[in-house]
Amino acid sequence: MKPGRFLVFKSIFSSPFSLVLLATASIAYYYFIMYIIRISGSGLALVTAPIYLIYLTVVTSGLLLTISIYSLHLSLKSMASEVSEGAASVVTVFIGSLVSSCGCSAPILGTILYGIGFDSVGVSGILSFVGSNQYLLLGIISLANLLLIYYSLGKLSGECKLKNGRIVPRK
Amino acid sequence: MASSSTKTRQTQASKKAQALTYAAVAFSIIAILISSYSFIHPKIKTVYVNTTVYLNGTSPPTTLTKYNISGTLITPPYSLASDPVINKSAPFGRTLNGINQPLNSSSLAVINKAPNSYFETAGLKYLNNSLSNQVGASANPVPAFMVNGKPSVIYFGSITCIFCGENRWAMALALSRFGNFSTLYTGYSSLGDADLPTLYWSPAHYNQSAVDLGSFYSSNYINFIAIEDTDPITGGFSLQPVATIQQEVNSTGNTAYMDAMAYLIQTGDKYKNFGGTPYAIWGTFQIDGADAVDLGNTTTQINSTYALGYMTHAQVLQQLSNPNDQFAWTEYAAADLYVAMICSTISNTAPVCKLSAVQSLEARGY
Repeated sequence: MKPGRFLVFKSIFSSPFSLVLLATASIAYYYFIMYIIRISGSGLALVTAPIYLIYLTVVTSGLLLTISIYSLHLSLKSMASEVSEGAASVVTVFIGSLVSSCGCSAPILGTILYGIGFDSVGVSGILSFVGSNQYLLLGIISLANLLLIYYSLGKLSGECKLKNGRIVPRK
Repeated sequence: MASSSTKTRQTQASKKAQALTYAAVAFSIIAILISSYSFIHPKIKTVYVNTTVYLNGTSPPTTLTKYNISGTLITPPYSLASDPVINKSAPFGRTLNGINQPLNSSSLAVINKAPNSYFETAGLKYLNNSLSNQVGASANPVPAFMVNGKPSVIYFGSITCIFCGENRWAMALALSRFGNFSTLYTGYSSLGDADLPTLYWSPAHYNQSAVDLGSFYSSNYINFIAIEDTDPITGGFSLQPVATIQQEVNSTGNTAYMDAMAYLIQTGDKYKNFGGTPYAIWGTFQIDGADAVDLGNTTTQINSTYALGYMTHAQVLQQLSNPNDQFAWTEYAAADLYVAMICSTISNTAPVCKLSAVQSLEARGY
C-alpha cells in the first residue's frame, strides 16, 4: 500500500538530518535574498517587500529542496527515478530575490530585462509592476513552491513504501 | 520484469534528477558562503564602489540626439490645495510634519549661500578616502541637452524614493554653485521607504499619482529640468511607468520638458541602464542612481542604519550649515561630483570650478 503524501512528509521530516537540511537550506536562501536586496539597494538591506512573505518563500523553497535531497538519498540506494523538483527551489528563490529587491533601484532586474531585449520604457513598466505587486508576486512564488512540494510528495508516494515508519524505495 | 529499455530510461531520468538536485545543493552552498561573507566582511563593496568612478568612452556618442532648443521652462505653482502643508507631529518613520512647507530665508540660505570652502574640504576628504559613507557614481558621456544656449541638468525621480530623498540634499547644494533657488520645500520620502527628510523642488502631489514638473531655480550657466513622479506618500516606494510619465509630460506641451523626457529615455536605451530612480543627466554626464549613500554617520554617534530618518529638516540644515560629521561631509562630497560634471560641461566658467578638489575630480574623468 502506498503511503499518502502526509505520511511521506512526516517520514521525511521526522529525520534530524532532514530538519538540519531544511534549516540550512532556508538560511542559505534567506541570506541569498538579502544579499540580492543589498546589491540592488547600493549596500542597504532595504526590505520593501513584506518580510513574512520572504520568510514564506525561503521556508517553502527549503522544504522543496530538502524533499529533493531526501529523495536523492533514497535513489542512491535504488535505480528508481526520484524527485528533482528541488532544483526548482533555486529558480523560485532567485525570482523571489528579484521581486523582493525591486525598490527605488533594481539594477539586477533591470539588467536582465535589458538583456532579454526590453527598452527603457519596457523595463520601467516591468519594474513599476513588480514594485507595486510584491505581495502578489511573492505569494505566487510561495504557492508555486507549495504546489511543487505537493507534486513531489505525490511522486515519492508512488515510488516508495512505508517500512517501520520510514519511506523506502518500492523496488 | 521491466525491459532493458525501460530500465535505461529510468536510469537516465534518475541521473538527470540527481544532477539537478546536486546543482541545487551546490547553489545553496555557494549562496550561503557568498552571502555570509558579505555580511561578515565590513568592507564589502556593492555595485556602487566607493571612490571609484567610471567613464565609458572619452567623447559623447554620436547616436544620441543633440538637442539645442529654445523655450521657457515650467514654473510650478507655489502651493497645492489638494496637498496642503501638514502641521502635525508624528513619530519618526510616520511623520509628514511640514511637508510642502517652503523653506524660510535662513534655511534657504544654508543651501544657496553654502561656503565654497565646505565643498573644497569635502572634496579633499573624498579624494583622500577619508569619508566612511559611500560616494561614487557610474557616469556615461552624453551630448549636453541645450536649452536657450545653456546645458541642462535633467532630473528624473520620485518623491516616494529613499535614494532620491537623500540625493536631493546633494543636488541642491551642487545646483546652488551655479545659480539660486528662490524657493525649496520640505518633504519626505514615502513612509514605507524610510520617511527621510528631504527637499522638494516644488510642492508635491503627495496624496496622489501625478508628475510634478519644474522648480524655482535660476542660473546663468545651466538649466534645471526636474521631473518628479509622485504617488501617495503614506505608502511605499512606487513609480509610475515611464510611458505614463512621458504622457503626462507631453500633455503640458512644454517643448523643453517633452524633449528632456525623450532624451532621458534615449540615453537609457543607449546605455541600457535605467534601473529606477534617481536618474539624471548632469551636463554631458548621464548617471543612473544617486551618487552617494548617505543615510547617516557611520561613526558611533548615531547608531541607526538610517540615521537620516531620525532627523528633522532643521537638524539636517544645521549640520549642513556647520558640517562636522560624516553625514554632512558626504553630502558636500556628493555635491562635488555633480559640480565637477557641470564644470567640465561649461568649461570651468563658474567660480566654484576653481576649487582644487573640483579640478581634481574633473581630472579623474568628470
